[in-house]
Amino acid sequence: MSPSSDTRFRSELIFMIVAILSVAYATPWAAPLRESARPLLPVVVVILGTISGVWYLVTALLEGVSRKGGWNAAALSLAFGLSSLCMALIHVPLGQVGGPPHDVPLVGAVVFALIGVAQLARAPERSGSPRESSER
Amino acid sequence: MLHRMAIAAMAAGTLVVGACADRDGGTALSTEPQGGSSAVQYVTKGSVAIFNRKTHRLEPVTGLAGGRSGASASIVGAGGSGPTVFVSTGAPGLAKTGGRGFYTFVDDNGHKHGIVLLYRGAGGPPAALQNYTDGVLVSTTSYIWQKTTAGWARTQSVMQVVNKGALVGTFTTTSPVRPGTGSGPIDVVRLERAPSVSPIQRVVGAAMYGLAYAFAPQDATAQGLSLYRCRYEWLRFSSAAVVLFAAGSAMAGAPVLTAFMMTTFIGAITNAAIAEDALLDCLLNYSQLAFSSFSASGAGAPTDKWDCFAGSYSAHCTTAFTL
Repeated sequence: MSPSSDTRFRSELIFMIVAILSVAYATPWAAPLRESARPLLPVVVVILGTISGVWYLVTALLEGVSRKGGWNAAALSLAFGLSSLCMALIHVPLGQVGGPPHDVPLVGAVVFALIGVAQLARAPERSGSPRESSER
Repeated sequence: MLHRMAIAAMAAGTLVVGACADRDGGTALSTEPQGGSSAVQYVTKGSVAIFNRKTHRLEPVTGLAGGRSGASASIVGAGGSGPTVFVSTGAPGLAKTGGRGFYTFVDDNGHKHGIVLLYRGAGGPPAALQNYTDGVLVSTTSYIWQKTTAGWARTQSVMQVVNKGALVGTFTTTSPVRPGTGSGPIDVVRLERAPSVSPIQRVVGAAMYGLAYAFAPQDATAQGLSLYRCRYEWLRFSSAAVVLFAAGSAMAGAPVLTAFMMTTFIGAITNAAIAEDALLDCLLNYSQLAFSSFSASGAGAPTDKWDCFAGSYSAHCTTAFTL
C-alpha cells in the first residue's frame, strides 16, 4: 500500500467512523445525550451548513470557470451548496430566538437537494467533481 | 406499539359505551344488576343510545318492559353472552406486579382523556379501569378474569358511568368460559400466528424492522392519531429526511470522502435530529403513556383497597388525576 493510498484509507476510515457516530447520535437510544445538547444543535447546523454550503459554491464556481462547458458540470455542486445554505438558514434566528424553523428555507433546502440528487443520478460521472476540486 | 394498541382498544370500548350514557346526571341509583341469567345488562336513569353496527349510527333506546323503577332504560341481553375478551400470556398491557398505569390523549375537541389501569398484586390484566375526561371521572370498569393455560379470559365486566360523583348507569357483560374450553380462548381477539417465511425473508425483514425501529419515530399508532395536529412537524421531519438522503447520496456517489462532505452529512443528520425531536415532542403532547407504578403499592395507596379493584368510584379510589 503506497503512502498516498494509506493516507486515503485512514482518512476514509475516520470519516466512516464519524458518519456512524453521527447516525448513532440520531437514534432514539442517544436521546438523553441529544437532549442535553439540544440547545446547541441549531448552532451546529448553522455552522456546518454554512461551511459546507460555501465550500460547494466555491467548488461550483471553480468548475464553472475552469472546465469546458463547466457551468453544466457545476450544477451538481451548486444545487448541494444552495441546499446546505438553506439548511443553515432554517435555524438562523430571525426575530425570535429559539422559535420554530423557517419553512421557506426548508422548502429551498428540499428542492435544491432533490435537484442535486437528480443531477447525481443523471450524470454519475460528475459525482467526483468535489473530489477533483478539493484535490486541486 | 402493541401495548398502546391494546390500551387504546380498551379505552375506545369504554368511551363508546360511555358516550351512550346520560348527559344530565342525577342522584345516585342502586341499579347495579343483581346477577340473573342474562349476560348483558344496561340500566340507567338517563338517555341511552346504542351504536348500530349496520348503520354506524347511535340509535336512541326507550325503556323496555321489566325496567327497574327510576330507570328510563333497562336493556337486557336476549340470550347469548357478551363478547369474550381474551388476553394471551405475554400480550401487551399485562403487568407483572400490582400498580397503576396511566394513559392520556387529547381528542379532536381538545378534551384531555385519562385512562388509569389498576392492577392487582399478582399482576396480569388490569382489574379495573378509570376513565377521566378533563380531570373528571366519567366511568369506572372492573374486570373479572379467568386464568387459562393460554392466558386470561374475561368472564365479567361492570362499567359504571358517573356524573359529578353520582352513578347514572351500569353496564354489565358476562361471558362465562364454557366447559371444556378452559384451556384456550373462546373467541380469539388477537391471534398471532408464526409467519411461514423463508430464512432470507426473515433476515431481510428483521433488518428492515431494525432500521425502522432505530430511525423512525416510535409508535406508528400515536403517529397516525396525531398526524393532523403534528402535520407541520411531519413535513419538517420529512423535509429533513430528504436533505439527509441527498447528503448521503452525494457522499455515496463521490469516489473519495472529503471533510466538507462529512460536514454536510453531519449537518444534515443534526438537522434531522432536531426535526425528529420536534416531532416526538408534538406526538407526546397529544399522547402520553406512563406506566410508572408497576411495583408494590405503598401503604395507603389507592390500589390497596379491594373496592378500587371492584370498580369503585369513591374518593379514595379516584385520586385526583392530574397527568
